Amino acid sequence: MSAAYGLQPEDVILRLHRGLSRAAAAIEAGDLCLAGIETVLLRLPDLTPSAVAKLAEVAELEKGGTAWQDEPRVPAGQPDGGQRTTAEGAGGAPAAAAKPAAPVSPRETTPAQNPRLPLDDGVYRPGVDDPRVILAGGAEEEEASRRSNGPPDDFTRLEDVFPGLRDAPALAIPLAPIDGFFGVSGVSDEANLEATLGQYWALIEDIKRVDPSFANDELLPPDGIAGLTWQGRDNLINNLRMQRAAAYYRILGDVGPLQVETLRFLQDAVDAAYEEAVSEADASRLQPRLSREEAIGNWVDFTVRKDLKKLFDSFGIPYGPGEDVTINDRDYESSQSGQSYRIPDARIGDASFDWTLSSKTISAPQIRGFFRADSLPRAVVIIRPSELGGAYLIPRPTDAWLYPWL
Amino acid sequence: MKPAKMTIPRDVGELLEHLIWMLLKAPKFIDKTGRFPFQDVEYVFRELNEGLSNVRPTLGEERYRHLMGMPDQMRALFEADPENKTGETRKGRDIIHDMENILRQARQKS
Repeated sequence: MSAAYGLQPEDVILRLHRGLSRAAAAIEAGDLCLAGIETVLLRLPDLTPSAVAKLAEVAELEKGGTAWQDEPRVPAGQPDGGQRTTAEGAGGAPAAAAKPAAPVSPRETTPAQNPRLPLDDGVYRPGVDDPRVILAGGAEEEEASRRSNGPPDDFTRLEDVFPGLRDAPALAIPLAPIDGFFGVSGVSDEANLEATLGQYWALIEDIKRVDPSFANDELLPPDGIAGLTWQGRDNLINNLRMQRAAAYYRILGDVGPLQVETLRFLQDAVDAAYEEAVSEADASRLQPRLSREEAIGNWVDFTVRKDLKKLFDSFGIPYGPGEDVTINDRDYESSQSGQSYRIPDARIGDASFDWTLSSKTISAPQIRGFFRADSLPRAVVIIRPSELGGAYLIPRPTDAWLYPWL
Repeated sequence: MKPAKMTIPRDVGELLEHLIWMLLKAPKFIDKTGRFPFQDVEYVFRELNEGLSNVRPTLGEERYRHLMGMPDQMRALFEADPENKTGETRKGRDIIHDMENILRQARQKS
């Protein structure tokens, strides 16, 4: 982690470690598509070329290497004795010796000034999670229940499942917008540009691999990407990511990348709509029929639905009844007593999406109804405003949970 | 970025949806997600006008012509009050409500 992203606060490392462990478990379980969705919300920045080079230097740490013998360990006799630790300790090099990921200005090479990874809404929840479990680096108790496909105690955060797309190398580590990483950290424009260019060319290559006729029609300033603002660079990368997802869907019929990109978009759209609605409510420009919350919720629901249609139209993704992608359309459930239906806000392949202000769990009849649909969704993704907790995922429960009469 | 296609209302229901969205996003219709750099006043009103054309048979000629005269007035009001401070934006929104009422009547009768 230090080689990839520079030194991070311990709480961030713990959260990330937890997520990565679960990602590995998900990959081993073969649940790759779901893993892709969840990886996105871990908000792990893409690796810069220089970070990749640094990682190559520490390749000895890989399975089969011997460098693990020199990794710092918790001294014997202490809780977790013998486990690897990020702290300076017996037999190991101090964590501070790790090299930063990107070419950064001298002031950023000290540990205290390294950019903090944007994982604060992520995996670790004080009072709920036990960091000692994470430091052990082994299987976690919660993994067992998830693997068993049993009904979750409550909802599962996307970050908790964290997958990858093993069979699509270009997507194995979904890219996160770089502004969340560099934008708040004060990293140099040079580093930001390097990261953007790395993503840009990788995405172009990915898209052309799937769609050889692809021509990037993006209009750039005379001095190219360097002439864009950081926000402009993010928009450029987001656009290409969506182009890639559209290509995978239209040409290969692979809905996985589209699920991931739609989720990323929806979180942005929900956050923007929520901010707008709250602002309008604060200015007394909303006229709620029942309550302020209802008015804000309706605003978010409506504008995000419209935005999603616009997104799919913009990228030529067909949606509607009978399609694999639907927006506010019926999802039918056939049963012996006839046919009924639910209307998820959106459904993309085998994942249903619901944007809402309130927290919903598998206990909600609406959510169970989504799962009972003939489309057999593997997961329901709930997107709440980040300010209210952000997105999370409800994995498909067992039939016994969905159909207690069986 | 050039969108593959515009999101043009195809029926009265979608037109109503578009108008309500305009009501919320007026007067600038700015996209805050950063995903639709092409979205501006011109673009939004083009969607509205083309949507009206799509439902012309449903509306009937008289109602259609009446409605087609309203977007220009509305646009002028929004552009005159981009910061929503002078009251013109509110007048523009009133026109949206008027259009909405007409469309609902048309939908009931069709």
